[in-house]
Amino acid sequence: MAQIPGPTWAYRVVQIHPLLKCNLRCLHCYSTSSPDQLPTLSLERLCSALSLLHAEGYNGVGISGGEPLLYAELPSLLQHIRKLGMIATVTTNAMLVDDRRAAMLRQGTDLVAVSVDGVPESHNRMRAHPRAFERMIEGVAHLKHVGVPFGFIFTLTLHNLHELSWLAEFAVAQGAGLLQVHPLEEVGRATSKLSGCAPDALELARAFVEVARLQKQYTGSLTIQYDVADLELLCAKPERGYAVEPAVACGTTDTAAVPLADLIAPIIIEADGAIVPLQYNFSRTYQIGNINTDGLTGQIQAWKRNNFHQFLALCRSVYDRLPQPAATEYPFVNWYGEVLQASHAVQSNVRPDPTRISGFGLQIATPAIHEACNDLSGNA
Amino acid sequence: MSQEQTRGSSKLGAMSHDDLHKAIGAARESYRIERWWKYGQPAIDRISAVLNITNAASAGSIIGNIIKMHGAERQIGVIVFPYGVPVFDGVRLEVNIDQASH
Repeated sequence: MAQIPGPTWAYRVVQIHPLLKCNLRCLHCYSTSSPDQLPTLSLERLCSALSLLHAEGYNGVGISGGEPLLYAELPSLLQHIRKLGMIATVTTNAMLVDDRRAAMLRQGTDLVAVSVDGVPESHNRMRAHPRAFERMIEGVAHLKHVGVPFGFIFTLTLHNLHELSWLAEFAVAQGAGLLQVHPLEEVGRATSKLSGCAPDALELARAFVEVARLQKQYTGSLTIQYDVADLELLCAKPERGYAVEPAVACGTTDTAAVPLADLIAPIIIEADGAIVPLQYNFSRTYQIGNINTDGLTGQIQAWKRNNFHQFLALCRSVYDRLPQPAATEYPFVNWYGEVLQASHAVQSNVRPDPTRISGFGLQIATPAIHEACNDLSGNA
Repeated sequence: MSQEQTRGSSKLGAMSHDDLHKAIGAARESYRIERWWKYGQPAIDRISAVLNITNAASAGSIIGNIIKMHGAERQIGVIVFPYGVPVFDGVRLEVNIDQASH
């Protein structure tokens, strides 16, 4: 029975947001986390869900939040993931890392991903904290001291590509093994704080050239991962974007018999326990289950039987809208963002606006939109 | 301030559509996006080794063969320290192989 490869192929990730509490209120936060947020997921429910999802074929767990270091049960959660034999990564702002927490992360994770948003001034502005960069470096020093493998995650906007080379040099100097470049999506707090700042198709294309240049420069020192889809690959292999018929993809019409991880990855456990496909804040129309509701096995089986085809239809609709690579000057797309937007558009019967999120042609920003970005870019 | 002036890529220098098209083609020869991640990170396996090559005559072909392994899935870094001054009689190679297990 074939696995639908999706965007990350053999690496099938469960992303967990055990809490939305954070020590920061970052401008780009897709989960709108803050110090005021309260809900947390119970360790027992999480461990039970992960055991089940491991049996369903998932082999990796990513932990975010909020700030995961504020989740009191994090050591126990990581221990459980280790027992299951799954790969564990934690995404953090690193400001709360001390030697004790670093030692805990050394025991329980395969890699710690530290969010860094450019040069110190840009980072502090995005983090809405004047000492965020300084305290991030202190946290990274603790990670290095105890030998935790770590990488940096950079959020690419319409305005900060020129800082990527600085960040690559910084990453190498700090001993990071990985620099991951994620395109900004205008969801969560970014909807209001960073309106119009998502990179458009032109910026994504320029970023690809810059990433390739930097990867050549830092060969052997740093791996740079650019997390957008190349239309050349995506159009040639629609299964990479889940644009397939269920029977063709799975080799059977009985999708209930197929492990969930073979059908879809990543999946996200949101802070209220809901399991959704692909991305935080995915339309609940496609919800797979809820770990806080008993009978998760049955929920998953029901989703496979009754809802999986809807999810595939959604992905096919996104695929059908993609320009052919030969017909576009800018052949890169934030695929996750496109599917997320489509999930909500289908629910509300609103036709998705292809210029709102990067991917198709130039996004023509008005002066009003750039007014909103002035604080971020530092330009008047 | 116009859109082009605040665009991050504009600070890297102007690029015509044709130039960008060519640059993308050139970039694709060395860098391919085979996976794209929203969550989680690709596991980075790094192999580091030190090789002492005492047969100076074979050093060149050994270094060449190691470099040939470089590609989209595996990145190779080699630092060469020659032994023997003024007569070159061997090399020490420090080799890093980063394999992105996507």
